Amino acid sequence: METSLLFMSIIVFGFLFLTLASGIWVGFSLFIVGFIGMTFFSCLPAGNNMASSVWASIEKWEYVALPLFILMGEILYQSGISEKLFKALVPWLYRLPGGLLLMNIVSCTLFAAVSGSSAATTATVGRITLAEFDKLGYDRSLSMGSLAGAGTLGFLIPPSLIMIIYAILAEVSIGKMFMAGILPGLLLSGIYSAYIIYRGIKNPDIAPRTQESYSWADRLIGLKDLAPTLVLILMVLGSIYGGYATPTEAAALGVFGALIFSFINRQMTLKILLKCLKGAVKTNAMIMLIVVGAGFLSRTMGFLGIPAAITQSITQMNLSPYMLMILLGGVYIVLGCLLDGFSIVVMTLPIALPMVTAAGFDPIWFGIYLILMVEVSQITPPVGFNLFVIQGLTGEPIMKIARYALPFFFLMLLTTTILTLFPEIALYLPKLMAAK
Amino acid sequence: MNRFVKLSDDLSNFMAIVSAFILGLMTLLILVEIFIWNMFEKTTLIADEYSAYGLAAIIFLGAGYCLKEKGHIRITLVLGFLPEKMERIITFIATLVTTVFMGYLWWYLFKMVKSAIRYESTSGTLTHTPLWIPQTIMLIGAACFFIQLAATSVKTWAAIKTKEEVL
Repeated sequence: METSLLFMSIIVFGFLFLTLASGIWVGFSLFIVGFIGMTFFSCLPAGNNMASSVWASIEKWEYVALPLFILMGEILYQSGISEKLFKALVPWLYRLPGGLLLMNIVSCTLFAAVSGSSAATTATVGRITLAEFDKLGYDRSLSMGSLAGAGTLGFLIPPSLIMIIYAILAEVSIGKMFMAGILPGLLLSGIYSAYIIYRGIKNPDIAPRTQESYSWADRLIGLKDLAPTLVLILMVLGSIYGGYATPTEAAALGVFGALIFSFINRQMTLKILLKCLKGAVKTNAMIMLIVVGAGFLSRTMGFLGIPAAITQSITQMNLSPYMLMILLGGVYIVLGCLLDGFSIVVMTLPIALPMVTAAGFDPIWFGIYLILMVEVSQITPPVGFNLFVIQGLTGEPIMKIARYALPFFFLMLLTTTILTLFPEIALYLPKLMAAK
Repeated sequence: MNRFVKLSDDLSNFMAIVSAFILGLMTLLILVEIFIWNMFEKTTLIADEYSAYGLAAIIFLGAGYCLKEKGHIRITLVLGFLPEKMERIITFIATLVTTVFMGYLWWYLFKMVKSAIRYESTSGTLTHTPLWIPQTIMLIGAACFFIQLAATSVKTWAAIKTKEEVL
């Protein structure tokens, strides 16, 4: 890398660290650093560029899916759908080793298929399961740890808010990204379940058997309670996969479906609907401020040639593709301890994506890899959003919950390794979709 | 000062309700588009474009409310290692810098809207919507966000003495 470029990069990243560390909001930190970079190292008018970058970032049809999926999640949180899921699954899972602890995994997997975020998945499932597990005398470390781990599936199993952001920034199809997340999501869910069953066989006391018993008739009748979730999955993911709807249209259909179910369950009033809409507006503003700030910083870095120079430097190191992914994985784990998932994706993408595609990786595959890394960041302290959610539900200290979640951290790394060795797990469904 | 903070909080609450209404309309518009396209093979012509304008509007209109509700993400890890008083002073300076920066950004957004009016820029779609209309809504949102940031600066300044948790 040229000396002047190296100097610029050090200044830019130094300021980024300074603004973030001083507690300036992440979105504004990105803006300010982009402004400093453009003002001091280019002859471009920073103010005008910033205004046009803001408008270009926010006036995008594809992003409309974001507030709609958030709204759908807000409505589902109120809809009583998670109680129904719980009721339907109990008769199927209660006799397996690990017992109802598997409920965390299966409920999160199913709920992730209608919800776009990990925090929403963790909160919605957790508020039902955690209290129930305490009543049954289950091992708290596993009940909280498995919820922290499984809640992260909200980002990997479509629809996913982070996937929408990634797909737009990486210029790949949102629909294909969604499809790419399904098999890795099921793989991770399967690995979590296998771990819990293993722990259940090794020590049955972690999940004492309940006195209740259920017949096959109970199981089959209970399936009707699964219907709302399955109908929503079919409406949202089925319409995208079948090519009947764009992700934004599917999100609007999802909002409609969620509203209908919450009306049927008598959980919806005008007051609650306004609360859901305001909640969606708030989360949308939070995410988009980061996206808009990152859009401008990325524009500045592009003008200065920083991503291209870093890519070139890494390429000259002649790292093997696997070595590159291990290195990147290390960087993401460290970043994940300090930043939230959205910031990680938007801040690193302009640098990481050219590097990774130059090494021969598919951008859709890399999206899934990155989202797995974001999932890891959800359960690594001190900044881990799933930990915060569980702290809110239980009042336990963050470090304690993080310790409970540690086995699931390693299981995520295992899944990432399997995905790196067998990229087809992510790419099979998008290819099938393209071939249709 | 307290009156200014209260007014800005009320303004942010009101803008959140306006944003909620716009989000509801966006959802409805897309649903109508899906319905009439599938039933009658007709289109509203505006669903994509206007829902994107809606998004542009609610980001800034809702940003002040998000700030008031402590929804925007900031890193407090490093600040947590500092003595309490120092932490509060730095938080105030960070908020003030952000407020000034937002004012600067608003000024250039205003200049952008002015150019859109002067050059009669339109969307370039079938509707030929003058761009200044959606951009002005964004500008109003940005102004409200700026006001909420200014109020937050006042709150963080007062918090140096009162030790209140404002962010």
